[in-house]
Amino acid sequence: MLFLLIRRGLRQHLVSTAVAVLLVALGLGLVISVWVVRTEAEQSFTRSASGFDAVLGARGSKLQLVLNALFHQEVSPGNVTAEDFKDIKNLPFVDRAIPIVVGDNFRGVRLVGTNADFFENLEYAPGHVYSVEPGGRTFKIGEKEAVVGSLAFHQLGWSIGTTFHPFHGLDYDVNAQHSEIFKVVGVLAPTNTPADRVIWVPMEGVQTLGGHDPSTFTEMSAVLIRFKPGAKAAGLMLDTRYNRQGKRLTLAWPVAAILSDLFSKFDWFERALQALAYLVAVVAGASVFSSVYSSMSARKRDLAILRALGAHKGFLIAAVLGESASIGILGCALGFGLFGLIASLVQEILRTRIGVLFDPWAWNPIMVWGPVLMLALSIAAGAIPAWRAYRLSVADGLSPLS
Amino acid sequence: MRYKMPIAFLVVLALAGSAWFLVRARINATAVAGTSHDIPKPHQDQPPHGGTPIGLGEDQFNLELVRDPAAGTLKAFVLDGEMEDFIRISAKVLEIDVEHEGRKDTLKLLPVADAATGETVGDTCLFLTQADWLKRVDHFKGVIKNLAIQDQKFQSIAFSFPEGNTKD
Repeated sequence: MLFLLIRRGLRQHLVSTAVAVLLVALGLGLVISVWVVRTEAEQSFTRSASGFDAVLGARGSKLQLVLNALFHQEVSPGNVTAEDFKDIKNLPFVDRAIPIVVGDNFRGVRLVGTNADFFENLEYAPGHVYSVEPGGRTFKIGEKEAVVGSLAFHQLGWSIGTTFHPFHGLDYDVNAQHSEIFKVVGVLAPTNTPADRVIWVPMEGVQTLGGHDPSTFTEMSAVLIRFKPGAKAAGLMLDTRYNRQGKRLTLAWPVAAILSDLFSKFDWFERALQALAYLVAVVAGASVFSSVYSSMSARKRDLAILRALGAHKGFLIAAVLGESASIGILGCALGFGLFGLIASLVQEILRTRIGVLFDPWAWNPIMVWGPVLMLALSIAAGAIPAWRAYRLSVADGLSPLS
Repeated sequence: MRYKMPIAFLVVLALAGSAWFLVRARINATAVAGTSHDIPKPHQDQPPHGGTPIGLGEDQFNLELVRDPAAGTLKAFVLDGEMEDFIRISAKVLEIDVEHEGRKDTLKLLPVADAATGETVGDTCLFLTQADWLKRVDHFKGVIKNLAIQDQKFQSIAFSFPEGNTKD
């Protein structure tokens, strides 16, 4: 009986009910999206740091170094000499030091030069090492060969054995084609990191391309560094040496803190979005109130008849609150759908543009608190109409309308 | 009885509102805690290598002495008053008169070049010397004879190692 009464109330004012449901959905969808995108995107970026603790590069911005060397974004701030590479590689607390050379592309896809160490049991995540898909192999040092990241491979529509001419610079310029020909010999197994978006070639292959300055043939763009387990003071020691005592090079360490710093730059934008989301949530509450209130006013006579037939006041309150709760539940369900839509869009953008895997459905407390609070807001919005229903006397409800 | 239900509604409303703000505050706190990968900041007034700080002038500069007992070396880093920045100087030698094991001696610390930091002899903040007695002696007294940093000159700066010469 109660269920029928609620359903009738909702259907009787279908338009206002639908608007209220949509607003609740919009409010919840925005609140969850803002929270999840912010927190999960930051964690995704940190995970995509490929397990490296630090990046050594030319004097400049730490963020630029991290974005350039680990995320293959931005331009390189300058070069590191072969002596600098040897120096840091031989430090006792350095586990792995991987050189990175950038400066060329193929139709906008970056060529990244590195050495054979990159494919030798190098973990990009615990238990996961860089490897080449079956049917291919790693490049030979000194040869014009390439191992293509899985995303880039599909984007370019290549196959093993494809040959290509690289283009000079990080941006595609059709007039800047190099004469050298590279051959695809393997595809990097998917890592869900920015490594999937680039073409990996031997370091010397990029350094010695025609048109490059011969004086920089042995230089590299950056060195990715992983410290030995337990070498906790290593980062601080190198930070003092390179960043404070030194004036030539920059050590970007710790990578997670630098990425966190990047996200904190967008705090104002996140706050603006949050404020907007909360505003929509409040408007949604007002809409639920308006819908339930008008529904209750229109059915005043029905409610009075129910009272006359012996319905308890609590029954009427339950009917009104049930109506607002139903709007809340429907809105929450739709809100999750909206969140899924927004999250999928963000996921695709991050995957294709940056190579970062974003998992929107990873556990986040807002996924529970958001719907609970939205539901509470909807029920609270039905409180005043419920109070009116409670106070409605049979005589008032059945009195002539004119 | 008449006012019981309205009051109950208001209480529910107030509780819902309070819960909303409480949870918002809690989630904010969680988010802040979850992203607090603090970039290590230089420890102000702490020697960067954990050595012995020797104040020069009225907190104008510092000299950090670092002994390596295994190698028998003594390093001296020239730092600013807050021990945040390294100061490169052109000195050809840094002389320290020392008294150890009842004997008097003079340590001559020479400028060190480092390609990684870009320091060269004549433009460096690091001075180094080696002496066998530094392998076994961990306490000694010293006097820095002459030291010119930027346009300041310091003379006869007495100190104890590893205590330093801080007046605090």
